Amino acid sequence: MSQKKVVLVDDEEDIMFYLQTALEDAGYVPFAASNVPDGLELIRKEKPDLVCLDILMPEESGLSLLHRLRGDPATAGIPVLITSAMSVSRELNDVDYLALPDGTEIAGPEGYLEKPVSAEQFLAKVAAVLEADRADRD
Amino acid sequence: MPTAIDLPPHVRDWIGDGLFQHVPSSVIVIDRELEVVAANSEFVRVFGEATGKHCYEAYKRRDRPCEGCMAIETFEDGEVRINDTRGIDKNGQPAHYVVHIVPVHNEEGKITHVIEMSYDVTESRFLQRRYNLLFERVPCYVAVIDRDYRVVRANELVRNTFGDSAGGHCYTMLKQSNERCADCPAMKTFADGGSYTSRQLGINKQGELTAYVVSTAPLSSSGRDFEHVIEMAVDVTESEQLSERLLREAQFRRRLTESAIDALVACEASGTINIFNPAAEQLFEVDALQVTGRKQIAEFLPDEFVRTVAAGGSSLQMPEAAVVNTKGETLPVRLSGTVLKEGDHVLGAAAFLQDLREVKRLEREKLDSERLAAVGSTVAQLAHGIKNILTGLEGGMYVIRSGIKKGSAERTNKGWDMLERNVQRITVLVRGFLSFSKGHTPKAVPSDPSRIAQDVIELYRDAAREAGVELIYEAERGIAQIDVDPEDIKTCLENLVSNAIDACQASNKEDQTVTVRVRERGSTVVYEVSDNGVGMDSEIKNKVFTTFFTTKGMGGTGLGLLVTRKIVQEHGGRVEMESVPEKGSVFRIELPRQRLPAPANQKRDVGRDSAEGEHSHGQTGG
Repeated sequence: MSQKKVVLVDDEEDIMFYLQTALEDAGYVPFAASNVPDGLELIRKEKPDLVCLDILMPEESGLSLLHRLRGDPATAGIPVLITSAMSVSRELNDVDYLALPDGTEIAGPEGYLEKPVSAEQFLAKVAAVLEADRADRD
Repeated sequence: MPTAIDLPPHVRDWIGDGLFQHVPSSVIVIDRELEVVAANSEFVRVFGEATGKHCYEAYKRRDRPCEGCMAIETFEDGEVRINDTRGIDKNGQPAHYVVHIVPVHNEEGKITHVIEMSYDVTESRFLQRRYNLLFERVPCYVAVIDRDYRVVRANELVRNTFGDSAGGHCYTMLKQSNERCADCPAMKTFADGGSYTSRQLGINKQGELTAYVVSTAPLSSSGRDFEHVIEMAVDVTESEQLSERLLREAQFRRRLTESAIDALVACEASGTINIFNPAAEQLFEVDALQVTGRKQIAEFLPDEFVRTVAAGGSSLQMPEAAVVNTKGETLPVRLSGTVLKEGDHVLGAAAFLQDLREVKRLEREKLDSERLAAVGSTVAQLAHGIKNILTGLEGGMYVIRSGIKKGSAERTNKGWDMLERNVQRITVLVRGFLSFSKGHTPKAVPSDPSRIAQDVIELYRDAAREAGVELIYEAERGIAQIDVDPEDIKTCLENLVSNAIDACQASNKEDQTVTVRVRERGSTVVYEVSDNGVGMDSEIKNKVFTTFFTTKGMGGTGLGLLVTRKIVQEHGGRVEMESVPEKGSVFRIELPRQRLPAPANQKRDVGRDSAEGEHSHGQTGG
């Protein structure tokens, strides 16, 4: 099995380093971006198997990136795992960012993880999302 | 009575000549040619010299006989005639007279002459016309009735109002009744000749009730032996309706005054209180009976209003006034006063007082609940910040474990760094939060609003220059002092200015400016800090105050705006925000004067919590 690529987008350097290290240790190939534009560029270039997104970041939020990914056929199929210190599911239910400008709704993220998170929890969730995605494709 | 034939000769002679001359009427003798053969002195006096003229010339200045001349007829048939006619006197004035035409026979029984005896009725006819006019047109009901209670005559107003039914019974005409009224004043007049007055209710020809007051009087020249009664009546329907309406309105006003929630205190021009409604009794805790007609408004109402009344001013609005009740308690009220005037003449004054105790209490509760909500929301959001830091700590521990496992000192050290950094973050956060959450009452002192802004501008001048941001200050002149804690307001402005400079630095624009404005809009002092920096999208806008939130990465705690809002709320104000991505943001601190805290050296009017915390909130926004 080839190594899975994961793009991490988080503005907090320490958290990014933590998750990156954990992914590396578990045999993934992580890529890191600290803001949405860099993250988008990285995703388009690397075509990762999974994107891990923070929500609250300066200038542009993780939900905005999710929106952009879903709107582009080249990236729409990439599973997204949201990691945020907010009560994630509640926040996502509250916002309507999941509607495209033309009114069609986009799929929400494939997974939610609320920070703080242990490396074990994080890696388990990453594996689960990837497994679900694989099952979907079969 | 003896006939002329039996009279003594000298009397007969006098009658023949003396009577002709001295009878008090105009007499002429005309022949068959209608020529005047003799005219007595009265005739000459009225109509001028007539002998030799034709009668029509003498009487009427005509040049031919009158049509239907009665003298000609009398010459023919010998009948005595009476003619009511008009002529022209010697002065050319019209004269109204009555003429008796009497034939004179000769021995053969032939009529040779006619005697015309006339008396002037000009004056009486004039009076009669005037009387008729008066009778018809007088603006009251006038009717003459006979002893059978039949209407002999009724004037125009009676006919127009009740219909023309002359000859009918008065009670039928006036009341559409078939029986004489029980309290008929005419009956009493017929009985004793006196005058009587009574109020009656009639029915007009439209079938509407018509109230009138009628006076009756006997119609006779002697006062005795009369056959008619004149009734004169004045219609009081309208005035009765009017007075009833006035009565109702007066009652309505009285009830309105009495049931008004606001206290009403009114006075005469002298200042003596004449209205003191139940709400006023409650407010001042005194019985109206002890006040009205006895006390002066100066004992109850603010001096400013008393002076306005004394000076003859017009009206006075005092949104926040104070009165003292009879127990010596000072009560907050809203006063709306009016001086009642007729031209320049002061008739009196009235003041409505709204008891603001309840309003103040609600305002206080609202402030308290807003403060609690801010704290509650802060506690919830604090968790968010802490969760991020915990993730960093979790991450540090993982990285240390990972470094040890792999024998990588570099990774282990990196893990230690992460732990240290996040412990430091949580320390700063907790310290800031403690200062934020500490019970704090602003130490309000009268302060110059512009001075506060200037101090902040000075503080940030260098920092702005280094950041390449132009710092602009605009202040309205002459804004009066406000009761605020100047250090608190400075903290707020420092947070806003610091944020604005950061927002500019985050943008790529060339001319970066931050503008601080101070102005007053309708008793609200407004501080405005605007920038042309990056602006905020709607998600960030929604989170700006509610989230324990920062866009500055590790650079901020996210407490700055929260502290700002908390301070402003403690001052009874609010923070407004407008922002457009890529255009910039405007933050506005609005401080309504009437909601500001009481100055610290004065007795507080409300029971605010007096917890005095650490004074400064610290600079947490940078």
